[in-house]
Amino acid sequence: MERVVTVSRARRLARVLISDIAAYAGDQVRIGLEKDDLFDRLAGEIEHARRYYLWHVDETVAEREQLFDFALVDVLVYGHRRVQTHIW
Amino acid sequence: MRSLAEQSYYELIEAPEDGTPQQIERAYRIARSAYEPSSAATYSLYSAEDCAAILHRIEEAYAVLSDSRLRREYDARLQNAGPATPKSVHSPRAEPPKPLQPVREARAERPERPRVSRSELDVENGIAPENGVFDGEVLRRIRVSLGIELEEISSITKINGQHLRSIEANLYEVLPAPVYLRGFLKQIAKCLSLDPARVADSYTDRMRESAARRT
Repeated sequence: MERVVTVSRARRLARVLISDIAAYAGDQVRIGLEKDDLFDRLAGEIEHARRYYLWHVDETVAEREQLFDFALVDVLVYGHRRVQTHIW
Repeated sequence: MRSLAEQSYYELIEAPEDGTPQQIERAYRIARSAYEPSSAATYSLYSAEDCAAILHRIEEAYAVLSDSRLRREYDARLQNAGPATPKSVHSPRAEPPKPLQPVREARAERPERPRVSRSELDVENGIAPENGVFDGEVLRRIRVSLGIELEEISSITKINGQHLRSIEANLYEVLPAPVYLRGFLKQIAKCLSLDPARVADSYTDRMRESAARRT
């Protein structure tokens, strides 16, 4: 995989990686939201995805790390906003 | 992020250069766990070889940073000439990983959008992994490199998400009957710009080999 040097591709890669976490660990996302320990529960998966992302996205991409964090919240939290939990 | 060989040991395990031994230990454990194939969510992002190369380098880093004398020497070397490796402790440096097989990178240049239509994904055939085998892990790495979400594949092909996950995870025992599986594989291949027949043949060959090994 060639180096990601554009914001759009970096954003895309972040979303794909995070959505894979949601796809492969869907129950854990729901339970994590219900118990308010989502990011602890999925710490290993998120860390692995983040490292993969940073590995491929060039440092020159503006707000590189924020793009990943935004995708994290957007996909894992906002994407599961219908989960019944006390944290909303 | 610089390449694996270019990163200092501190960068590699994401520990502060003035970190305490406890911080180094903790960073090492986190870094190590990130590359262990224990997670269904991330197991196939890197090939086994890539994971081994990265883990090797992490162990290398920990061997130095957890030893106060070697760490002092390494720190001095870092200040003088960058992230060199003390030869007394290390085996040859691992090559930077190549997590994904060759793919058509231009495909991922399209702007982000919530859904990708079938026509946008249906492109000509021709991408192939280096070893010629299309198993679930290879299909997943190609998909990620193209910037395509599993849900998009499901949306376009109408293949159930559970089947897609099982295909990528090589969970042969829970896959549908071969006649359906071949159809699924061909549809997935089209979405990934792969040769449909080749992907279906390769995947089902691998599945049969696995079944033969089990009996």
